[in-house]
Amino acid sequence: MKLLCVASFGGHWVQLKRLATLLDAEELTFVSTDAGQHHGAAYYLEDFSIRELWRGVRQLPRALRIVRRSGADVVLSTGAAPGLLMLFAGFVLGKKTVWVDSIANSKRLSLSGRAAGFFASRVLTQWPELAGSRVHYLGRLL
Amino acid sequence: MKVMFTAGTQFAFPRMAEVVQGVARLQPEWALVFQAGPGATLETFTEFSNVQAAELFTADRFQEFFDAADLVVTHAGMGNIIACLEHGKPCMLLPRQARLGEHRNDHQIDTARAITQRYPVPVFNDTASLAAAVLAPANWPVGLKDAPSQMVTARAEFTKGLNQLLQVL
Repeated sequence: MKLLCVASFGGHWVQLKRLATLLDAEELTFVSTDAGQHHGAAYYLEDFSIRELWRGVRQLPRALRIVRRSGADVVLSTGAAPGLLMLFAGFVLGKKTVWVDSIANSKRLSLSGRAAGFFASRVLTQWPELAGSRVHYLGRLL
Repeated sequence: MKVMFTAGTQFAFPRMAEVVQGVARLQPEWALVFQAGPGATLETFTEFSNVQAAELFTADRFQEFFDAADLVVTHAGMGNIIACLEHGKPCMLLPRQARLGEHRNDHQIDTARAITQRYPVPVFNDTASLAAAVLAPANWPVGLKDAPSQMVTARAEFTKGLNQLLQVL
């Protein structure tokens, strides 16, 4: 199985890197933001917030290209908005998609996580009390 | 005592700098290290011979200081928090607040709240109470020694769940 793992640079990226070490996949490809600040990813997007939707929409062609070129079967993200965009691109191209909400969201799922709920194959929370019919709890990183 | 203070790698954090100065003044014997963040005003630290301050340390230097520290005082950045928990390092958090212009939003407050629910990591909202806590080693957080093994257990369960999920999707 080939996985495309996506996270914005910072806390989401830290969680993604830890998560990646747990996954049993034949190939992992990383996508991130802030190309100038690190070299850990194969592809980069411009960072944006979910409240600036147009900046995401503008990058959709790029996101679609990344999914195609990576040959991934599954797109997985720990956040934030750029991860949601990549998940959407994966969904459009018929790939499986998994959202892992940040451990920081202990009271309520993030806005991006709630948006992912409309199309993602699976939405995961790291807090059992936030699990429900559309959001699942399988465990946590911390 | 060796105490490491860190404001992360993105921006300066004047409130953290205040705490470092307060502790440096009252505990001249302690060895303090402060990663102050890009754009920080470091001139104020020249009067303290017991403080090594820099905007950013190299990764190797940072690791050296981190390993030697008896206590790490950090902004609520996920990278530093996870590092402390993985190494069982006693730590205290001062989350950045958006209303003080310390970050774009209040996600550090959410992060700190989430962490403190699962691990004995104290969170402070103001510099006076943080400085007082740092100055009282007898009351520093204990119990972080178990954090690494707790985390291994948590991740083992998550690994199992995730890999099963990837098979059945």
